[in-house]
Amino acid sequence: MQYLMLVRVDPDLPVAADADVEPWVEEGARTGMRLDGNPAEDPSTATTVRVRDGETLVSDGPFAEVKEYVAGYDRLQADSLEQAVAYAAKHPVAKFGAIEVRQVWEGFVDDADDVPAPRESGVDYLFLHVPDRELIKTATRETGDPTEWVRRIEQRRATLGGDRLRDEPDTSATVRVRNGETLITRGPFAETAEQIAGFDLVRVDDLDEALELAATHPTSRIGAIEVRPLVMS
Amino acid sequence: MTEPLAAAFADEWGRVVATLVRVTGDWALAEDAAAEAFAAAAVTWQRDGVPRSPGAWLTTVARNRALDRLRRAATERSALESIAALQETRGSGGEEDAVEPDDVPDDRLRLVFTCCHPALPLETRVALTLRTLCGLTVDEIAAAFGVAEPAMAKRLVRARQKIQRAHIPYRVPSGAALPERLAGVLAVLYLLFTEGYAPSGGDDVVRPSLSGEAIRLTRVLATLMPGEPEVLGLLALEVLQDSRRAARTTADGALVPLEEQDRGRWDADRIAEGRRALEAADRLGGPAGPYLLQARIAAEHARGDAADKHAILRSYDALVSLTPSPYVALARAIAVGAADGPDAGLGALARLRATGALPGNHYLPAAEADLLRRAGRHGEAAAAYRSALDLVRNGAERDFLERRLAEVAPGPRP
Repeated sequence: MQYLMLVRVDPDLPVAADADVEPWVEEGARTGMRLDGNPAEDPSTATTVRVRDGETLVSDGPFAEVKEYVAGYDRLQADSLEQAVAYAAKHPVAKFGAIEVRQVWEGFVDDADDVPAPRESGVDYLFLHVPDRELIKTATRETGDPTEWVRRIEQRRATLGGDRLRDEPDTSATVRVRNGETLITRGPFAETAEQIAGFDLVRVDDLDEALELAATHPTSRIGAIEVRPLVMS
Repeated sequence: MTEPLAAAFADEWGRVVATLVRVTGDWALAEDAAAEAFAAAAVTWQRDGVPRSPGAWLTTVARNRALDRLRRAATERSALESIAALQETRGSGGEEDAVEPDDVPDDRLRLVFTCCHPALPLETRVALTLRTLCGLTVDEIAAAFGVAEPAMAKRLVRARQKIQRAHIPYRVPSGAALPERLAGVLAVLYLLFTEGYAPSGGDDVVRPSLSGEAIRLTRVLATLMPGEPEVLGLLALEVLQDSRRAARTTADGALVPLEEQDRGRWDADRIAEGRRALEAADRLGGPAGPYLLQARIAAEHARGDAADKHAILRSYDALVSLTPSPYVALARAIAVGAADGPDAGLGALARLRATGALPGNHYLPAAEADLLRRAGRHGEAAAAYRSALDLVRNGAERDFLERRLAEVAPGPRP
């Protein structure tokens, strides 16, 4: 099964002295558990997109101010949530933040044949999909279905992948390590009223193209999409 | 600063920064290099006189300063690439051997669109425009916003970082995105103008430097985008409103309403410029947008007693259908009062009040008070003035309302 790991840093906690992510990445490569991952630029570089009554509303900053902010992501392959959580707990940020582990909803969007390879150069962004609790009730199978959008960005060679996330308590967990003790909370990250329901990784020319893509995704009509640049190596 | 240098500063700062941003992609470097070039100009021009083409001189010097800085810091490939780009555009001779301005594309339009990008907070868009396009110092901008200098410096640093790290493009948007983005640019310029014209707090009714900067920038925009009627409309609106600046307040800072203003103090040059911009916009044709409609209203008011009150009302009717804002509805109701008499105006205001619009705002009771006063209903007018006084924040507007209250309710205040 696939999992998305959101690495959340608490800026009020001191960075652990042994905070080197390399051994963790090497372990993931050795065991085959870590598929890929990237750090994101900090939340002050975020832009949030909403569409209401056909009008695109663009605002500066993340979708919600939260102490433990998303600082990056990793995609994992694991046999169970327990196995994914055990590996996530070894991530150095678990000591000065929280690691949100979410099972990917495989098959939510059908795979397409003959998907062109993504463009070779561009700027990479992480889209965090955050449906509004009330507005999501207004979505129907047709209006909320992202399949057509996914097909479109595939043809534009603008996608590096993305998934809907499961939100049942037994498919996700938030992990913190404090004073050497591993603390596990069942369910998605609970510190914000709205929860991240999906993500996309896009490769585009610039922020304008990223915002244009975000504004055409169904989530922007029933909630918000946070657009975060990834750190370009 | 000497006068030729001050003039060059006002005219060329934005152009120099815009070119440097395009060539280096580094906003902070662009501003620093421009500042160094202007400092160099202060010394050299004092000694040798102002060069034939001040803009080209400044751009060349700023480029060379940026190049020197990049050389000193050249450790990364990207920096070396920037140097290569700079060298291509660098003249072969010294600083005096400046490139001709015609060789330099005008980058200010890109700079305007990037500074006014919707992914930046609104206040930051205004501040960044003042810094990079108008060349105001951080101190001056902080004072204009009523915040401390370090806070404003931090805000500007954050904005430049976001532009760079989130990859906000340095480009004029095209196609379907242009009208929406242009509307955003015009909104920032008008906000800049109105903050200069009627600041939301404090006691100065007019901060002339900000409205002056807004007018200057709008003129530049009208030159760079001559086919956009709304840009001309905004320019007309700004200069027509500004034409009444001297007449709008008395020597001791008190507000003077339009119909009581000394028309001899209206700026005829400004009014003429406004009418020219309006005529140019009308020649472009097409449906009138919100700025053009407001400019038509202002132009009608500029005719003084000859103003056609029904033409003003027709423009307001069109404006209400374009911009469903309670402020526009309020202005329309006042126009109804002027065209069809106080009772009709009070009816329009009553309908607006019934919608629950403008709660906690002094404009609605102040408008009611004014029409009641004109209708001779002094008792009700006094009550309305008192309601407005409970809500008003600007000191000059408060003084005006108190003066009006004294007119309808003579004697000591209760």
